[in-house]
Amino acid sequence: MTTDPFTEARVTALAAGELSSEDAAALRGELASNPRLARLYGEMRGIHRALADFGDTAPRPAPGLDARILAATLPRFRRLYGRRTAYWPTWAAAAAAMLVVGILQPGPVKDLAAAFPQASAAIAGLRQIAAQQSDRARYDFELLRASLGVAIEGGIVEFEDRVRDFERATRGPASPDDPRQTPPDPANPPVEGVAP
Amino acid sequence: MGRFRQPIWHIAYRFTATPDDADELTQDIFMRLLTVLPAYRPSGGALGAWIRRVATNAGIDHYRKRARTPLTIPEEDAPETRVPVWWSPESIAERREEAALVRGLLDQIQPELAEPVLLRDMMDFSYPEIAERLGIPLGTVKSRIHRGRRALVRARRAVAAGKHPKPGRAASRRRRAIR
Repeated sequence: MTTDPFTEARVTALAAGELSSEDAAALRGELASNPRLARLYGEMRGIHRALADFGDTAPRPAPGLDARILAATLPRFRRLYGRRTAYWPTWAAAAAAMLVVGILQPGPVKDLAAAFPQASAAIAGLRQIAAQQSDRARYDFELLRASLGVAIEGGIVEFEDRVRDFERATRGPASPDDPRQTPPDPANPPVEGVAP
Repeated sequence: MGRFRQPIWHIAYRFTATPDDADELTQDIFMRLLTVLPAYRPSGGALGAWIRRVATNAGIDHYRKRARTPLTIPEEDAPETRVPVWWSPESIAERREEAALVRGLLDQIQPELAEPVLLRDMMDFSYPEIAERLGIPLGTVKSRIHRGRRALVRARRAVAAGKHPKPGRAASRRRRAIR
């Protein structure tokens, strides 16, 4: 008994659950009277399930993936943005850290103010560069906004530690110019809902 | 596990089929994310979806670049058996073994057939999404997915009939050695 390619394609689609209920019912009737089609359907089901199973039964990543990703991405980040970060204030370094660790860390963050003590300084800096209205400021704005988006959406549990690690790796000890150590700028008040 | 790290690793694992290679691809994906992150616009969609799109594109690139050991799949089907002997709902271990076997076979069929099957049956992409991602017409996607699935069935029959060795770690080691 032979089957035409069109019917085979329908069997393939049936095995993958891609047919409408009416088409599926009609084809199941054909399967009952055609052993070759029935066999193909069984095989297709097996293939489809095996491919789905491959992802569902995947092993967990080996321990230390975080560290390996950070080790691989931080030098890259510095190459990409090194010149830029040379004049960035500390809030930008914090944002850069958010960029990296925000993708890696679990959420949710229950208390944004507690989890992001640098956020107010970052946002104050964001306001400053946004006020400059230059292409560079707009670029920095987009980068920082994306960084904050990543950090907030992904959630950060050990954010402070990671920021300190990142700053140590890229800038050395905190300098007296660190904006976190100066009083808030009255021209750039903290954003509501985010503690200074 | 991080919100994005594990999904990205699992996307990578689907494309690479080995944990070690998935690690490497995950690092590449994060590097790519650092490069393209400034291009992200919230108005274009949720960040998570955007990150997964970047990861999938990186996976497709990786899948196309890596070395392959193609099987010569017989055009004639193996002798029929009443019941497919290689799959039945038994233990997780058996299903995992079968999944690894079929995933290995996927690497050995024609890449232009394997890519859309991978995106459809392992990544749950819709046909239009696959057409967009691969830059081919929708009809071509449907045809290739059907042909790819059919090729997998033939390859699986050949393995069951002893006409081809099971794809396994040797192929993975070869790929790493080539890289």
